[in-house]
This record gives sequence, structure tokens and C-alpha cells, in this order.
Amino acid sequence: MNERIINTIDDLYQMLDAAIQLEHATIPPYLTALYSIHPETNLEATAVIRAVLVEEMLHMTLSANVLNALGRHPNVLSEGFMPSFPTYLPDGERDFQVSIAAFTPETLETFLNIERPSKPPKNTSSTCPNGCIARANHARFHLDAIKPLKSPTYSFYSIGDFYDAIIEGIKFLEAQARECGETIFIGDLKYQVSNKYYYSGGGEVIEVTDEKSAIAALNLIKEQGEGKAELGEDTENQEFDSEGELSHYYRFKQLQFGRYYQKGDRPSNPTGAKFEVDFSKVYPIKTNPKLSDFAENPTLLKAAKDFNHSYHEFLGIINDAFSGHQNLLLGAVCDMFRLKEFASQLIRNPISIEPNIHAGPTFEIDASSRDSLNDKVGQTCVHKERA
Amino acid sequence: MSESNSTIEQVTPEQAIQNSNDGKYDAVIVGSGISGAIAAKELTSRGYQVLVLEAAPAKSLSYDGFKEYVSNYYVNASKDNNAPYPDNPNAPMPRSTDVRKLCLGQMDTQGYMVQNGPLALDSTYTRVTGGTTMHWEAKILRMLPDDFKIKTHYGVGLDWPISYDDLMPFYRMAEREIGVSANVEEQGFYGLKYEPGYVYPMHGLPASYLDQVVGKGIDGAEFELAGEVHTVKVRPFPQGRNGIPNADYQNGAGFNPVGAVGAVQSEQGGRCQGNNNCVPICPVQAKYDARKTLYSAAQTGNLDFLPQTVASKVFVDGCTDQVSHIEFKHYTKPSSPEHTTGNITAKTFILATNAVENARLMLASDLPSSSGLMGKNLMDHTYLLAWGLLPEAAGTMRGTKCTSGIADFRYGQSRAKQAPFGVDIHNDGWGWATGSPFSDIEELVDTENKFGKALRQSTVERISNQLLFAYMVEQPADESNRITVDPEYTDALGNMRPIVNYNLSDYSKAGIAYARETSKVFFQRLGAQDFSSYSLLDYGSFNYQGESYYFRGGNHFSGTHVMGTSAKNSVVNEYQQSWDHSNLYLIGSGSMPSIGTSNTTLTLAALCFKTTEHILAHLSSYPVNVVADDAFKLAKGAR
Repeated sequence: MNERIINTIDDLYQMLDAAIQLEHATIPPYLTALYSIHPETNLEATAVIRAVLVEEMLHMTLSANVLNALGRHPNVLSEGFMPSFPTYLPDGERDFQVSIAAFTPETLETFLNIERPSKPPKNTSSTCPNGCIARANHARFHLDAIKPLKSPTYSFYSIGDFYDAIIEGIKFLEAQARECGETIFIGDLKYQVSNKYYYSGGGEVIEVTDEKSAIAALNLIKEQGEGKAELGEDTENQEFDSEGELSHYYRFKQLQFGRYYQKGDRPSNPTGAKFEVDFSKVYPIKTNPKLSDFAENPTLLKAAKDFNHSYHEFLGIINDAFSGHQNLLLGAVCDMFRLKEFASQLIRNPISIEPNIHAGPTFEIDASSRDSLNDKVGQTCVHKERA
Repeated sequence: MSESNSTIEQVTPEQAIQNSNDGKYDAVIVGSGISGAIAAKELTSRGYQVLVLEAAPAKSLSYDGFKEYVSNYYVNASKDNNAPYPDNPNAPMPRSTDVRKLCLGQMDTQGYMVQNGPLALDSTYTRVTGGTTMHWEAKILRMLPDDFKIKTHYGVGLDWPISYDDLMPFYRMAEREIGVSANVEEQGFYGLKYEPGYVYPMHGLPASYLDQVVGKGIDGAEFELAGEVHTVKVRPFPQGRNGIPNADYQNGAGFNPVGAVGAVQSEQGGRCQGNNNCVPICPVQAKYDARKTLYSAAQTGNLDFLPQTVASKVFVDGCTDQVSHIEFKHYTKPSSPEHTTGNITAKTFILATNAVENARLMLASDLPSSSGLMGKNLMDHTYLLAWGLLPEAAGTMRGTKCTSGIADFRYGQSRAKQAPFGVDIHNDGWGWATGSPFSDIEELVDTENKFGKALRQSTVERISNQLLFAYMVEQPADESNRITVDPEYTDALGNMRPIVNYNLSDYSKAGIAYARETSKVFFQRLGAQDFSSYSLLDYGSFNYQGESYYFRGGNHFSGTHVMGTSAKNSVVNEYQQSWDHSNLYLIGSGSMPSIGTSNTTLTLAALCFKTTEHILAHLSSYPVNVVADDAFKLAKGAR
């Protein structure tokens, strides 16, 4: 069939909403693994996970800028925005689940799966649109991003294919608009998140005003995530993108090798500095914890609810920042410190008398997480805009 | 990847010696702190070949090495200025924790800096790659125009041979290099002026909530002093840390903040996050440190960097009075004094260690300067601390360390009679005075028997109301305050240690006493309970007109190779060029004849730009070297 997926501006809105959801979906697992590491240990693993994590934040922001450029604000508070963990993300033939879990060899394996650059199988069913395949377990994919326009039968093969479909849609719709002397880029520039307020987050944010900048933003997401590498061909220099940065997959791969890549290395043989990854210096968090796990322990239950409430509020700030109040990102830095504090309270404490299973953030964000916080912890962060 | 592990390629001592013998080096710079790094960057970026000798290991040049410093700080029980930086007997540094009360007429030789009194000075510097900017606070003030002529105007200290106007273009360069966050409209006071249309590279950091509470209480307070009324106003400080770039900078070119060094895979430091341990180390590297400048010098490909190499002696050619070479000692590990010795020569020699170490090295080389002033006129800012408890929580402990202060006692006719001072409002509570928050916990546990939830709550309540004023008092030049050396006191490598002779004059003490009086007024207006007390047992204790005080050093060593108008009244000229040896430059705060009430870094950085402009003009007068083919091959092979 090989047809275009996006044919109307509403299709494009829907796909970009899904993109923002997809980029956000990896943040809870990465954040939890990062916070599970004992403080001041595993410095290299901490740096690598953090680096990938902040790039996901950049991708989320870039997608939001594209949507805003089209004259529509994202909504990260919409129903079902936060996946229910464990959840599925697309990964070629062999699907896998993503969990909220401690940093373990298995978690690292999952991270590699998330970021693994994929090549569609050669015998892709010809009944699907570009970049999509039909999967037997299609019903189990919860994220809209995976199912083009909520298709009940087929899904994207990889995240790269997903963004290619968006780029294709933008080109098509903009060409169509141009024929009538119009443009789809009708958004007000004031809604674009700029480098003035977005920083130290995986690179420079691109302000989107037209087709060219939109495609540049989407290509940056693709390139940072998957790199240019194709797995299985052990040739030189494939781990680095055009700016000399490692793709996420190979950044994580270094943690398995206990060794950094340097330019000229083959994927199977990094030759940079060696380092140690010590999985024993990690808090043993219960995998995919739920509030119900803490029913017996009111202190943990409160901490978990506090975390969810703060995360919910934090998403609210992000929403406002994506809707013309980007100066709120200044204060959001303090809120991120608060989230870490709440997460640490959970992660550093055992659930019951069993000392080997610790609590963790549950990321159960819904209407009930909004009003559960004790007001004492909700001190506002003092900040002042100096424009 | 490996870039993140070794951001700067290093040479071996053998390679450096070979290059030196081949005549490769236009300049050798001793020290990689802010002065050395700026000189290196300015020269290498114009194509000149530079060798930097650094006494410490190059560890902090990698991201992982830097993170280890941060870890050291977290785990170290003491949180002093040098807590993150490991002991290195081969290149030791003074630590405030070494200082004890001196007995009259007795030397204290326990610490690296030998204290000869009469007062003990607890100031420090940091001997690691990047120098003292690794631990500095990064408040970055220009000096007032008046500060350059205190001898003429007030009959105290020394005048500069140059004026504020002469330094203005170089202040701009320094503010660009360091990346200063400030709003120019909040800074033009008491004669401070800027070129029309000037803006700082980044917008000012927001004032802390504590600043606002204090401002509400004391703004408008009036003090009459020497017939003039000083009206208090809390103002923000310019900061050497990353904020929001000002799009209007350099006629709309904007500014790109420099983040963490070597963090190829973990981008950080683009903006200050408000962590409150700027001193002794910014965990995200949003604070400027000299490694950022050194790194860009290395990017030119014209920098040879030789760490673990202590300059031990400067040699002068008896016929020409030119420096012929510098002798160094290179060690392979800090834990062992084993070392090799070598000589390095270059067209220009630049000593950029710091005011104490520059003088120490020259005196150890038996080069006291024809003026005899080497090591003399040692100045520092003298700090008086005053601390109290506010009636309500003021958000104390929310960083950065210090965002605002009071400039209204920095100027005026009273400078003829008593030392002027600036005031810092500390966002980190009583830490400097009492060791808070650790001492608070001890007290709550030991004397109030608090534990568990009650302990947590009382700790929060106690700390969030804390207020500390740090009064930074000017100290004018005085020849009897000085650095000397004595072969009896040496370090592990056999290099002579600095001996410090230090005292406070009645002029300083009068300023301190007045500062204390203003603190009482401030506390009264704020409804704060005054907790300041100055024990006679404190190592900084002194008495003035029947009252006890103690002082703290400001880590702003300066004046030890003072600049002036002739070889008779100074060690260096306005270009920081030695009067005695024309191919030798002693750079840094040691050249400053007065320090006013401004932290010294911005001014010494500005001086450094002025100096390198002079050196560049000098170097360009050399004929281009034609290197013999075989020598070229040899040099190439050695690399």
C-alpha cells in the first residue's frame, strides 16, 4: 500500500501530541534508574543516563515547538498521557516492556532495547503504510505514538519511522497550503520555547517558524536518539552523529563494556578509558511499584502520593511553559530538585520489614494525584523573571 | 568517550625540555589559574607557542576527575575552602583548618604557610589545575574609580600608576571571559561608570528571598559619617556564574554561556541552579573557573601543558639582566617526593601563580627586586562577621552563596580616618561564623535532646531564619605585612614555604569597629536577635578601644609585587613587567597597589588582558624564526 499516514492538519496535530507523549514516556524509567544509584557512586553510569534523559527532555520540547508553530498548544495533562507501567514501546520484531525499576543489568538491557536503532525487516507486509508493520500483539501497545492515528491493525516499526511520517506530513500539508498562498505555520512566535529559558538540556532548542526549522527540529530528535548507526555492520565511526555525539544506544552500550568509545572505534570494541559499573551500589527498588504496595506503610504512602502530586503539578508547569509562559521553566528547576527529594525518600527506604525491597515513585498520575499533597511541602520556589 | 577524560593533551617533561631547547616557546607561563589561563588563551589564539607549567596534577581537566572533587567535598567532614582538593605535599596549599591562635613571639609552622604573626591569617588559595577559581565565590565587582588614588585622596596606602578609565576596556574583556551576569543599571553607583550602551554578557541573577527580606528592613537607613550621609540600599552583586544570556550583548551578537569542562556526554553548567556550595566547588560548573579558559587555549593547538611540575627557581643572566631560564621539579605522584629536575627557556616568562607564590618563588630565587619590595605590602580583605536570627523564616540556604549586599560604606571622606567596607548578605546562614548547619545539629542534639522528627523540624526552623552579614573591609598597603622565605621551612620537594607576617592597623580596626556598629542597627531594624560574639580564644581575636572582635581572612592576597611608576617604588610597571628583568612578567593581584572594597579577581583579570596586549606587541617585534630542517624533525619526533 505504502501510502502517506498524515493527510490532514488534524492528523498532524494528533501525531505531534503522540510524539510529546512518546518522548515523555521514557523519562520515568530513566529518572528512576538514575535516582536508584547510590549517591557519589557509579559516576560514569550516572553521567550517561543523565545525558540521555536530558536529551529526551529536549525532544519533548522540540516536538512542542513544532506543534505550537502550527498554532496549537500541547496538553501534557490529557487523559492517558502518562503510561501505566510496565508499558510497551516500539522495538522492531521483538517487543519488550519498559518498567519503573532500579538500575540493574536487566534495566540496562531494556534501555538498550528502547534506544536500539532498527532496520525494518525486508519482508514488511505491503498492506501497511510507510514505516509500519502489523504486529500480532498490536492490542497491547498503549501509547498513541505507536499506532498511527490510532490504527487498530498496524504500528510503527521504530521511533525514526514515526518521525519520518511526521516530516512527510508536514511537507505534504505545507505544499498543499502554499498552493492556496497559505501556510500551516500560523503559530505565534511567543509560544516558542527558546534558549533563553531552555538550557543544559541535551543541546540547543530550535525555535520553529516554518517548514525548514520544523524539519530541522524533528531531524535533531531522530539523530540524537538513534544516531546514524545501523547495528550488525561492524564498521568504523558509526556510533557518532554528525556533531560527533554518540547516539543513545551506544552511550548505554558503554555501560555494558565498562569502557568509553572514542572516534574510530568499532561498536564491538570500544577503546576509550575504562571505568567500573557497580550494580551493587544501587537501591533495590520494587519493580513497577504501585500506591497499593504501600498500604501498610503510611509514611511511604504519603511520600509516594507527594511525589505523584508534585509530578502532576510539574506537568502543569510544563503545560503552561508550552503555552506562552516559558519563564516558568526558571522555577521548574527548583521543582525538579523537589521531585528528586521525594523520589529519594521512597527509594532509600525498604517497603516492609523485608530489607531487600525498597519503595519507589509510582508515577500514577491521574485526577486523584492532584489533591493529595499535604500543603506543608508545597512551598513555592522563589524566582523572579528578569527579562 | 576519551575526549571527556582528557580535555587537554599533556606533554612530558622530556618533550617540554626538547621543545624548549629547540626554541619553540614564545612564552612559558607558571600556573594555570585565571591569570595564567587568560595569558595562555590570549597568546595561543594569536598563534604564539606557549608552555604552561602547573604544580598540581591535571585531574580536574576531566569530567570524572572533577566529579571526584565534588564527591570529596560531600564526604569530607570539614567543608572549608580546600575540602574538595586532596593534600599534595609536593605542591601544598594553606588551609584555614591549619590556623591556630598564635602565642606572642612564636611562629606556627604547622600549616603550609608559616605564620609569623602577630595575627594569624586564615586566608587560603587552591593549588590545583584552574587555581583558586576552583573554590572562589565568583562575586565579581569592579573597583571604584576612587580606589585607584587612595594615597592622593585620603593619604592612605598606595596609588595606582593607572586609573579606572585606563582599565575600562580591559574590565569589559574580563567580564566577557568570565561570563558575568549582572544588570548594568543596578551597578552604576559611587563613580562606577560604563561605556554608553554597555550591557553585561548575561542578565543579573535574581535576588534571593532573604535579600528581599533584608532590603525591606534596612533600605533607607541613614548613617552620618565624616559629615556625609550614607543611605543604605541592598543591591545585587555581579556574578561570575551563568545566567540568562543578554541578547543585547555586543550590539545584539548575544552571549553563549560556557558550561562544564569535559562534559561531552553530560552537558551541564549552562545556568546556575542555586546549589549553595559555590565555595568550595560548584557541582554543575555553572560558576566560572579558569579551566574553561585553559580549555579554549588548548583548542588552538598552540598550548603545551605540563602538570605536576613545580617551578623551583628563576635564573637571571648576569650580563643582560634577562631571565635565562626557569628550573622546575616534576614529580610522578603526589604521595612521593621523588622528582626530576629540568630547565625551560622561552622568549617571555610569565609568573602567574598568585600573590603569595609569585613572591615566594622570586624570593627563593634570591630575586628580591631592586626596590626591595618583593613580598612586601601584602594585603587582604579583612572580614568581620555579624550574625543574627530573623523573626521569620527567610529561606536561608537557598543558593547561590551571596546574591546581594550593601555598597554604601565603600566610598566617602571617612576613608581618610577609617577603612571603608562592603557588606555581603550570606544566603548560606551562619556557616562561616559558627559552622552551621552542622553545629546547629550538634547543639539541638546535645543541649536540647532533640531527635527524629522534632530534630528535623527544629533544624529547618533554626536555619531558615539565619542571617549573616560579612563585612569586607579594605586593607591598605603596609610594607610590614609581608611574605618572606627561610631555608629552614621547606615542602616535600625542598621548595621554600611562604612565611607570612600579618597585622591589622588602627585604620583597619576603626573600619571594623564601625562595621560592627552598623550591624547592630541592621539587626535592630530587622527585629533580629543578635547572636554575634567574638571569643578572645579565637585565632583572629583582637581588641580595639576596649571591645573584642575577631577577623577572618578574605583569600584576596595581593600587593606582593606591587606596580608603580619607577623601579624605586615598585616591582613591576603598569604592564606587570618586572622593572629589573624586561622579559619577566609577574601577573595577578600581587601587582595591585590597593584593592578597595572589591573582590580582586575581576581587576586582576582585567590587568591580565592589559598585560597580554603589551606582551603581544613585544612578541610581534621578534623576527620570525627559521627553524633548521633537522631541528624541526627532531622536535617533531619528540612530540
